[in-house]
Amino acid sequence: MPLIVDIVSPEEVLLQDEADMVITRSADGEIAFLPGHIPFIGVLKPNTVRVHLSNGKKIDLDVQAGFLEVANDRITVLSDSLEVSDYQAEVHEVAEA
Amino acid sequence: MAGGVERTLRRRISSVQSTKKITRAMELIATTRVVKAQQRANASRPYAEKITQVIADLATYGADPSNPLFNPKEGIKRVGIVAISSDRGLAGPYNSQVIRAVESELIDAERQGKDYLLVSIGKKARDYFSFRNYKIAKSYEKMSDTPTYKNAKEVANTVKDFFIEGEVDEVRLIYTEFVSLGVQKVAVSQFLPLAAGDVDSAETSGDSEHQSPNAAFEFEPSPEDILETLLHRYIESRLFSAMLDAAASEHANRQRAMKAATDNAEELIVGLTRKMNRARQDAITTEIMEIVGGAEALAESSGTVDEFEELTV
Repeated sequence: MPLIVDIVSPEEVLLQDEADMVITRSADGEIAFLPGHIPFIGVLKPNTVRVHLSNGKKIDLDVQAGFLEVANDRITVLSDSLEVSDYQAEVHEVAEA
Repeated sequence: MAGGVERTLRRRISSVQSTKKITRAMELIATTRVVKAQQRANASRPYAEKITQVIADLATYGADPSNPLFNPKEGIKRVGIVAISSDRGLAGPYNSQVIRAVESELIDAERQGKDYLLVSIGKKARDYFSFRNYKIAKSYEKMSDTPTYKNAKEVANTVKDFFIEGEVDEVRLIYTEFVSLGVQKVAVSQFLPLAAGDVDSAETSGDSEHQSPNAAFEFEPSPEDILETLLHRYIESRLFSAMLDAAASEHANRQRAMKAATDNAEELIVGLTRKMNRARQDAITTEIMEIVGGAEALAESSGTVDEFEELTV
């Protein structure tokens, strides 16, 4: 069962999709979430949130600050300082090799 | 001369017509902006819901809510009031309603022997209260039309600082709630300190797909630290949604006011046109009478009375 990822800014929902893995950096360091992760609430450090979508695509989002909650295979990233500018452009296919 | 009446009426009609054009244009603009403002309000809802959800989870699974932002203070000496009005007028009763509510809050505070601290958003509230010599601690402009999260953050930070530094003991938010396209009402709500009930009730009314997990949460860093930062975001997000509501209400009010103005102008034009036509008809009738009278007089003096008598009888 894949993870459901919601990336939400105060003005809009930026992403809601299924993912296999989400990597980010919280207060204690780099952390990756896979399906079945235990419930987690953390404060995000400035970093790039890397979302590996179930369809093979990868999305990178730059975050200055924010929160992340994981519960029941649902990851919610809340941030008021998402680098929205060209996140769509950063959606790129994972190399087939 | 009767022709003069006609001319002034014609001039009035054309002036009413151009006014009507303007109000019609404003109505159309307001209509599109209401829709946009509503969409923005809807788009901002998930964030607000999620953030209350996380706070509720934090409260249930560890964090002890002894945060200063939560605790009501004893013996309130100074009330903070945040008033959200608009920068521009011609929005029907929108601004006057907010202003009236704010003023009655101020008078109430004074009557109870409390001091007040007023923060105004929008030119209209600022103008009204500064003209009447109320002291305004801080006023913001150019953000009520299409508020951004940045605007909300700026205001929220000021207000939070007032509260944290003890300048005010509680803060009330007065804005116009957007109930539906037809109904907007002024809302006075407690902004700070946060009521524990805010978060609880939000949890039950929040998104239904969310189930709180059975296992305990893992926190990074400590739950208290997370709560601390999270509460600040929560306050900002509450102010933001109030500002978005107010913006939608402003445009809805303006749309209604301009619709009424356009209808009114139309009615005026019909009335004036009727009057003008009558004036013209009067002028023509008088003119004919004059010609006939003149001709008659002429005929009498020249002796060909019979022909004209036949005509006039």
